[in-house]
Amino acid sequence: MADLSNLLDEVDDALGEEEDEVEVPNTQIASYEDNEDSDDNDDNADREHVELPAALEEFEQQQQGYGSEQEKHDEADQDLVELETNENHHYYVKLKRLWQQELACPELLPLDEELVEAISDQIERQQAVIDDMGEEPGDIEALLGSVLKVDCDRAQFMLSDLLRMRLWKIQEHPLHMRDLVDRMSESEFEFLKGYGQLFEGYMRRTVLDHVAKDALKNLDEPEMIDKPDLEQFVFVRVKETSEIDIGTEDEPSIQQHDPGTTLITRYNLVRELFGQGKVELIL
Amino acid sequence: MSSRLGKQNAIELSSFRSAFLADDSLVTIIPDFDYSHDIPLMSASTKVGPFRAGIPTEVPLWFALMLQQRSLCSLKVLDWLATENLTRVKQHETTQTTLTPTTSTTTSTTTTTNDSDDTTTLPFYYAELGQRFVSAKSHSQAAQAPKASRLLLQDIAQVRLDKLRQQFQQLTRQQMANPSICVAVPGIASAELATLKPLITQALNDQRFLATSAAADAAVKKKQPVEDSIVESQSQEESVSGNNNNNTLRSRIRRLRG
Repeated sequence: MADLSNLLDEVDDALGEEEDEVEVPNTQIASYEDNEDSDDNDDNADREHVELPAALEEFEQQQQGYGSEQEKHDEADQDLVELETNENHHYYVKLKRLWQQELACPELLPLDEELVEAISDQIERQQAVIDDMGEEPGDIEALLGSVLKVDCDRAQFMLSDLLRMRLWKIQEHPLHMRDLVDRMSESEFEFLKGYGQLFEGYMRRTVLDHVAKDALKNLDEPEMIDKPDLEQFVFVRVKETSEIDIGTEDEPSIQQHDPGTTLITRYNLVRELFGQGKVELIL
Repeated sequence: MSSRLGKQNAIELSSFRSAFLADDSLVTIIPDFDYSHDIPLMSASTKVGPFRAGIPTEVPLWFALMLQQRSLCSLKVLDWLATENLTRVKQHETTQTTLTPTTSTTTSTTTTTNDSDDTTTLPFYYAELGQRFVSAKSHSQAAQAPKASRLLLQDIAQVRLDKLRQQFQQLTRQQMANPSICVAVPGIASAELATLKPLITQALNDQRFLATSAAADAAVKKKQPVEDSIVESQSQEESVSGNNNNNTLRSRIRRLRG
């Protein structure tokens, strides 16, 4: 069907815009590289042993500087007590948790925009340091460069997988997602609008315009809107003692679970507890 | 991930993600080089500190593997990978009906067995870590009976999977009686989750769907008792394709869309 192939191209374009969003830091870094003078390279070659640690120290100080400013804004998280002033690891851990929950959950979770921004900033900064180090010849510098790069890539993979999953969820149930706009970022909302228009256009062109009865043409009917299946089964790990009501109408029954147990259960039953943070979904 | 992806693809994706998460665990290495500054990494909770040749330091697993590939360090064997420990774990697995409890590296809670033997616990990522170490050991010179550990790990994984599959069969029988169940699977580890999770969730969802739609039919028709219709739908489980009794135009449109 000619219409279908055009549709797919349009959808790919919309998705391509979304992916560009994530790749913007990389293109910015490329422009930094081009602007470096050749003078700096000569100096770097002479003061090889001093220059590299300086770049790293600067990086460390940057991080610590950010750390001390933001310490006042830290939540009282038990994990942080054990960590040194490594603010970025805190973000990394949060991103890891958010990524796992998003992958395991049937519905779209609220997006922590501050976290996404912080991680993207950190990735940018680290890329800049890597490029600085890339100027140095020598084994240890190359090793450190590649180590930092792998670290950076790991964070980037989690971030992009998270965003990819969210986009997939938005695509699956576009009409339903119109009500959940407060859980999305602005660019996701733009994506939803574009996708919704394409979708509606597709439905109209292929089916609805040819349907005789006007009453059946409406896509907004409650019956027509697909919702994510909130009764799916999920694996959860209990973090605090909590009660789960598994009773039917005939026999109400409440199970109590201690921290550390792993359960298979319907998502509906644990949804509230999940919102309160008492259980976590297992990937 | 998606119902449209093949089951095989979903399992591969989740094993990849589990291996990715497992790579963040801290291991001890003995570096062969000197570096006197900290390396600020995002993925490590402690600063990956100054390296001095011969002094053990803790680094994330992915870092350790990178170093080992360039022959810059040697990995210290993890405690729980010792042959004696694995033999004990295997003994426990084959004799007990419950799984050996697993500890998560991020939380400090451990579940204790009836023996209250502290060492019969496995890390949550035991399969991924085991695989990495067993293949990495073959590169290093100090190979400590890698074959035995590899075989033991495989056996342990096999036994645990079988146990879980049996538990799952019992679970589906329970679910026939009560659609909303909440079953504990203590001690499940990441590798089993990656393999079994898509199957279990898909099967339980399908069964729930069949049970509720069969119950609705029975309530409408009031001809057969609910148990009979559920038994009937059990036999149809193999050819599940989301059957839809509603023949209106709307439902056809929805199917066209989905």
